[in-house]
Amino acid sequence: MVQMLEVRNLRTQFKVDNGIVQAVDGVSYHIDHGEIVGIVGESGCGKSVTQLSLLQLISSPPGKIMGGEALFEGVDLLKFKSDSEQMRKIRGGNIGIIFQEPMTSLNPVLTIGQQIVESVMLHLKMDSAAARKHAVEQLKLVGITDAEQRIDNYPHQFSGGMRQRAMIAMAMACRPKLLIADEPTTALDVTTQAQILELLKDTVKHFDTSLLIVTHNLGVVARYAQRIYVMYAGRVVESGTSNDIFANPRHPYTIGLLKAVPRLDEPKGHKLVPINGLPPSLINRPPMCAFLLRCSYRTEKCYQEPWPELKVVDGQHCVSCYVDLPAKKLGSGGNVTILQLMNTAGMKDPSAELSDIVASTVSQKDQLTNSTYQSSEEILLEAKNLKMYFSGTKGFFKHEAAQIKAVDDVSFKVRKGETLGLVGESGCGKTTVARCILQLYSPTGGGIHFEGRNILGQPKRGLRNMRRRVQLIFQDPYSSLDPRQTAGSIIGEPLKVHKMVASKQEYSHRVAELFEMVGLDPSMEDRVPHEFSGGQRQRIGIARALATNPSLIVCDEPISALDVSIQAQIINLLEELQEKLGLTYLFIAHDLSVVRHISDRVAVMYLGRIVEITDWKSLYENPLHPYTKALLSAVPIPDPFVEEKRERIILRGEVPSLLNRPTGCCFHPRCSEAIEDCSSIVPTLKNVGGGHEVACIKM
Amino acid sequence: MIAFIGRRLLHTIVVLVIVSFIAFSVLHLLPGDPALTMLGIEATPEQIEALREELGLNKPLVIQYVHWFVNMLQGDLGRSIFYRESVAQIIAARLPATFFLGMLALIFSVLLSIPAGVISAVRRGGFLDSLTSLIANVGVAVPVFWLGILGIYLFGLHLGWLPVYGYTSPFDDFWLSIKKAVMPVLCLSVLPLAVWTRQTRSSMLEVIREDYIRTARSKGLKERTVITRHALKNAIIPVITLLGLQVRNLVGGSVLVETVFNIPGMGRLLVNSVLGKDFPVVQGCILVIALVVALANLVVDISYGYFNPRTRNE
Repeated sequence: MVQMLEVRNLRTQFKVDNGIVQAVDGVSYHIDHGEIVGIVGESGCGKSVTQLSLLQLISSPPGKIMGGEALFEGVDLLKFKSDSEQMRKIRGGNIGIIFQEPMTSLNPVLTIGQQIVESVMLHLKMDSAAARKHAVEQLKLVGITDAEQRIDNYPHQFSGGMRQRAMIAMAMACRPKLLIADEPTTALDVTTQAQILELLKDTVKHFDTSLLIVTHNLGVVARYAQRIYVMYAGRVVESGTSNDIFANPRHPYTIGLLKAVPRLDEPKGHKLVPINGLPPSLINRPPMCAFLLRCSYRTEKCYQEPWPELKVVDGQHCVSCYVDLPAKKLGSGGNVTILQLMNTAGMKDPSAELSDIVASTVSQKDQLTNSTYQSSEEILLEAKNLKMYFSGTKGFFKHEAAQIKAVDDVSFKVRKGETLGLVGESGCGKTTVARCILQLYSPTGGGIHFEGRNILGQPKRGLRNMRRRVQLIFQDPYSSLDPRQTAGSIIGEPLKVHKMVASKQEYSHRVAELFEMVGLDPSMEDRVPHEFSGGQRQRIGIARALATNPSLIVCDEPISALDVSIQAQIINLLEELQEKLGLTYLFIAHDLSVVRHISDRVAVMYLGRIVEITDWKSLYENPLHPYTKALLSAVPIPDPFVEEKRERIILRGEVPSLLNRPTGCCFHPRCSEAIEDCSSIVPTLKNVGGGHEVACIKM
Repeated sequence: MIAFIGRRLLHTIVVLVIVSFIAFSVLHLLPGDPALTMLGIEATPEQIEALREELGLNKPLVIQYVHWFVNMLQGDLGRSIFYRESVAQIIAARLPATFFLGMLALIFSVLLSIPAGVISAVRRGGFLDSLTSLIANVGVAVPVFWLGILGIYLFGLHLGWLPVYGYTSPFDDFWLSIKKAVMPVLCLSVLPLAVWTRQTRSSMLEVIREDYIRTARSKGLKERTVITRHALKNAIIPVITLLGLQVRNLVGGSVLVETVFNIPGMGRLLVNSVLGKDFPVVQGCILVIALVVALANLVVDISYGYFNPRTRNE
């Protein structure tokens, strides 16, 4: 039988200064008519390069396709030249592709319409009037309202979610037989992600198109993909049906990946099991299994033999590993409860070593969180009616334009030793809150009480002590470290600024201690940031924050720029440090699973206001605000059985701009439970019992 | 769009008023009595007093400025001390030569540099790219007057192909005018040509790496369409900014070129007036040059809005 697309033994490499990067190293996969297939892997594993290679879209030089076949309906695409007539017919005509960044993937100087019309005219041979009509229909299909008007907009006039919709319209406009979605939702907010994934699924179903989803997020594929390929270091290490991969992972990397991600539906309190070490460099890679050094199942054979071929273990399930990890028989998925499932997948692990760690930390952490939670009623930080307004100016005489209320009347308390999670989608004001607390912004109103004293309106000199006690961990470890400063001096600088060391010896001793505290080798202190990996850089950022013995650390999206397998390492480090040093965290993130894992209490923000705040258990098990409910239901869970049964609340629309914040409850235009009063009454936080506060007039 | 142009126009007017003030101050910023400075130390007190009266230097500064400004708006830029003629007439006689040569140089540079930059970027690392880059680098480094003198020697004296100096209006004798213009225009074009080629090249190289170029290719468009329709429209934006700035440099270049080729234009007039301390003419020249540069930038700003939809305010 001829598959729609069959890629055989594809190899792509890039020439770089110090060698050759084998980005795609003998990858084979196939996708059939009407199928939805997922390709999963971390950044740099070659998942995107594979797709770009088969469409011959990699830039050459330095990239080069070294071999293999890409059979589309039986014809090898790699035989054609990149700019040839045949190849161009395939691209856009038969295979559509949408990319990760809807911000940068659309041409900023052409209207949305022009960009759709040009490919319609090219592939469907329509004249410009017919093509325009067709383009309007496409935009309507992907849910863009007022498509007739919006078609003449430029990309910058569209929001992120709408741009991705336009991208989908563009890719689907010529009715391709296959749609490749390369990280289609990574740059989007979680509620928008849910909308876009549903849209993708419905669209391909409507047109009977096959869909290939390329992603790093296991949750994204769990709900939609029928089959999954897991890639690592340029190769497919495991493939099979969705159920095979999630219920019965057989490759150590897949197993590790599944355990490294916190989930919304797992029992809390256990420590994440990170994949140790770093992804390998693909430059001049040795022939052995690339996962070898991070693998806890490795044997002598793995060191001696080359990378094992993919071999069938069960039906369609293929694994590339010498170690034959026993299959776990789960029975039919429908009868298994979530908890049982987790127990089987996580606890009864063949590796005794790993399950020991898991078991021991479960109880430990539980006790610890309980004890710290109860013992400290002391309030370390309190925000009282915090307001931060920005005023935009406009025109030649800079007259004041609309005021942007980034943070509007936000109050919360952080107890000593606890972690308060602050979640919300982009633009909800969570980072602005952090900057107000750190006094990087001067709030428009309200108060911030730290250790009992209001720190607002204090003279600069008085702030110095506060700055020592409150530190920040940044989101992006790449841009937040001075590229010309050595790691040692980055970490040691606060010691000098705050005169915390008396002598040179004390200084170097303390710097070395800080390195060890975050799991870095002190001998690396003379290196500059670019010599470290992303995870290591974030460790440097953490050590720098720890240098002044702070009591509060504001973590602003500390892991969102890191790979999945590294995220778990950093989360664990933060948890260990909290236990050891009695730190208090204000943990800001958009990833609800991570916040659930690390937080004692959680506050949910929407358009500059807190809509719900309570302890993690009540929030996740009994969310009361409609926005919280929608947010939670939008988070994908990496488990097809669970996903199948979950009820989804797909919010309509997107987060509105702060410039035209809706009246009354700002969530009411998107709320399915809204009543008439919601558009006029601004709800305040109300205690509904047990410290569970909700801002909704229906409570 | 009309509001956008209106705002830009307002900006331009403000700039011109400020420049007019600076031009006016030229006389008064110099140390000592302007009348004495103009006439030299051998002048008699009566002569000085007469000049002071003529220039209105006896009145308060503000009155002087307002008076001068109002006159200027009516086209009266005062009288030249040296030529004993109306400044407006002098400038009107000199402007066409400079304008003619400048425009030719501008058009020539744009038409050549942008395609050269694009080709260079598309064939990055190839022979054409290396050659273009070499020529562009030499073009930036070579002094205009040296090139002019070399041209006069080679094409004028040695080969006898082109006239070596002077200016003829194209309305008087078109072919002679063109022949006389060839060398000055080439000299004037060297610098902007080199700068714009390099700018277009680097701007194109940047744009070609953008995600939306990959998107365009993924639609199955021809490479030529991808380059001209998707890449160039984006890459041209920073080049246009530079275009406005280079008009100023063309004025600077005209001073050198007109001197070398003995062309009676604005550049030479400015230099001669500065050296001859003919302040009314200097003021007039500054105003006219400022007006031209400001208008050029206005045109650039407006076309910027056309090329870059993101700068168009809703």
